Amino acid sequence: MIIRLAAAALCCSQAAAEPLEDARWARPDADIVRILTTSPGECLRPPATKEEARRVEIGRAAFRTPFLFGGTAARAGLSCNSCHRDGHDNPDFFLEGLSGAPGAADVTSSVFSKVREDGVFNPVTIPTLVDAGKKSSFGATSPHGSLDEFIASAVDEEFAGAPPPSVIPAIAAYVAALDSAACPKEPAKTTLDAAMKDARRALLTAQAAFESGDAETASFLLLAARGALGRVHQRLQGDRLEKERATLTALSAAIGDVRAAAGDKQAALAGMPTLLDQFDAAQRSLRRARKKTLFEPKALRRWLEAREEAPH
Amino acid sequence: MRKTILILSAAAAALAAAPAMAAGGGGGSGGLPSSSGPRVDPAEAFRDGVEALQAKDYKKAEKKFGDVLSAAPKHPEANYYMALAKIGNGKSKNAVRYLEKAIKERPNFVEARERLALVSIELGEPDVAREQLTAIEGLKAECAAAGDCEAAFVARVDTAIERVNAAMGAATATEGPDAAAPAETAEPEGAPEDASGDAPSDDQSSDDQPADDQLSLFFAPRDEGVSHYMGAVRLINEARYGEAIADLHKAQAIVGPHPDILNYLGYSHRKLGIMDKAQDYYAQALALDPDHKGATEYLGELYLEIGEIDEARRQLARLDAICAFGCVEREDLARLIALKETDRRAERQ
Ligand code: HEC
Repeated sequence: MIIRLAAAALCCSQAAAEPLEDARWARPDADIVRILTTSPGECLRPPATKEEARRVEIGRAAFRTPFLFGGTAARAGLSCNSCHRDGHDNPDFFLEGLSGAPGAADVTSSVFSKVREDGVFNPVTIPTLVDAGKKSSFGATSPHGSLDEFIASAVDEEFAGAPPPSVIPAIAAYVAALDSAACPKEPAKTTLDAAMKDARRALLTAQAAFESGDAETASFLLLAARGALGRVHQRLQGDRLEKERATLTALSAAIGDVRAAAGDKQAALAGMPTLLDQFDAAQRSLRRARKKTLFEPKALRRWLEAREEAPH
Repeated sequence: MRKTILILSAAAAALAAAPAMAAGGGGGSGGLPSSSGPRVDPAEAFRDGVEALQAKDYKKAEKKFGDVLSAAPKHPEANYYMALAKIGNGKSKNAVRYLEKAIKERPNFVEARERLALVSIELGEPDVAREQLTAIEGLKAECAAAGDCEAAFVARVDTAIERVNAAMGAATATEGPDAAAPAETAEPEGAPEDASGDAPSDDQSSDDQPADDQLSLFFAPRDEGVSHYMGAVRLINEARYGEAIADLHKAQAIVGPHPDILNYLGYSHRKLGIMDKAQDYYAQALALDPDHKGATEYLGELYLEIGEIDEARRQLARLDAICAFGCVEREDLARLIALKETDRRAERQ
């Protein structure tokens, strides 16, 4: 597939003023509160081996971070998860000029990297990736025979990404582990705890990567963890959460410090336990302010309304 | 179906909220309420100013473009519009320096040159008018030599030549600086159709003059500015920087001063090797939004390209401060600096 995407946020447009990354791709008439507080739910099959678990965790973090990409895609905050929410399709996805109809994207179009344009506007519905691992051909527009190849071309050609070598096979392992037999009965709630857990999983995976001597992957995962905290930070708006924002910023800086020492395995590993302690303390303090965050549908609705009313 | 590609800047994403938002963003990706208080959004003031001009509210227009220029003193169209507002307020003499500034920043700004010529005739300085006339004629020769004359541009140049010649003729015929009916210059034209729905004015010039393409472009809907911008981003992806610059100029003529546009103007000039201009555009972008991630990164890349690694590192440190949760701009610049350092070490061995 050649998805060269436009970024959601247009220069100079209202949409670009959207501080909540997760809302940038929402179709105009969408129920933003629903989109921001629920997701379809991840259908992740438990791993059969330790090795699979290791790869799936790397893939899971990579799937959710814009740092997988380069160029305009990363700058816009796009990730695999923006289009394939929790690994599913995304009927609410809309990007002007790219989508045609909501839920679709033109996969032979423009913009996130150097163009291999076909000159035609031909958006394709974003497919679910659940059970995709059982297929033998991937992508309708420009089919590939393996998940690895398909994903490698997506990341490299379309989204101008250049992740560490371990990452593409890890995403393939993650996608292959998306199994309809493992789907939750109900949609998931996007809570503060769930969002923090994503960041923490990335940290633990980074720690494991350090242990196995893969500093490059560890560094990538630490960056992914910082990005995940950034998305939490976006949900802490208003004067009343100043302290909590500072807590998160300090935590992110501490992750940055460990990352800066990534070349020194011993130092990095030595820093991890303190980092995880700091993480847990931060999470506890955030939890106390939970009701005021934009993870809470009520607070979110109020905030959105206030923004509507504010003169722009 | 032909593609109607919208190419959006991603860089824009975090920033397009721009200055209003970014000013209070406090770094990171969220647009948090500012503690430093509100500041003027020059693109918004620009929009208000254009509306005021259209409504012939020259007082308000003067105020608004004053706001714009205090944030973005080099914006060519804002200078031009400021001149129109001054003229509308009967202050033709004050208009001159804005017209000169507009021309300095955009030498092929036909409308500004024409207006400067007309005002100069009114002020009894025919030499200045003649100078502008020559310059206007030169514009046509210039684009012909470069082989990229757009028909609309040539037509506009011809109109300008005609108008200036006519005004000079009228002035010499009556042998007086005041002869060129003040109404003609005191009434800045270029207001869009809907605003001219009022009773036909005694400004005979509006009847026998052709529609002003360029001016109506300036008053184009904002969306048109955004699509010029998006076209430019696509052209940049295709490494067609000269064309991208043209589109970016059109975008900023409509949208007003905007850090994203200035950033890409910097980028395109840098890719063409015009480093001093590139640097100036980055500086303008950063003046509007000191935390602009794209301009901070690209300015760092510029420093790398001209061999000033320490300055590049300073930009990297800026990005570390701006991006509390990491950002790809920082990652890209860090990688390029590391590459450069490796190259240097290799050279030394
Ligand atoms: C802009 C939205 C978008 C993004 C971002 C995106 N995809 Fe897709 N994806 C699509 C669309 C649309 C298709 C269908 C393309 C086709 O049929 O050619 C697709 C197809 C696929 C397929 C093939 C599924 C099948 O059944 O054949 C896989 C696997 C996939 N994407 C994985 C990913 C991964 C992994 C990422 C992140 C690296 C990603 N996608 C990012 C929109 C997106």
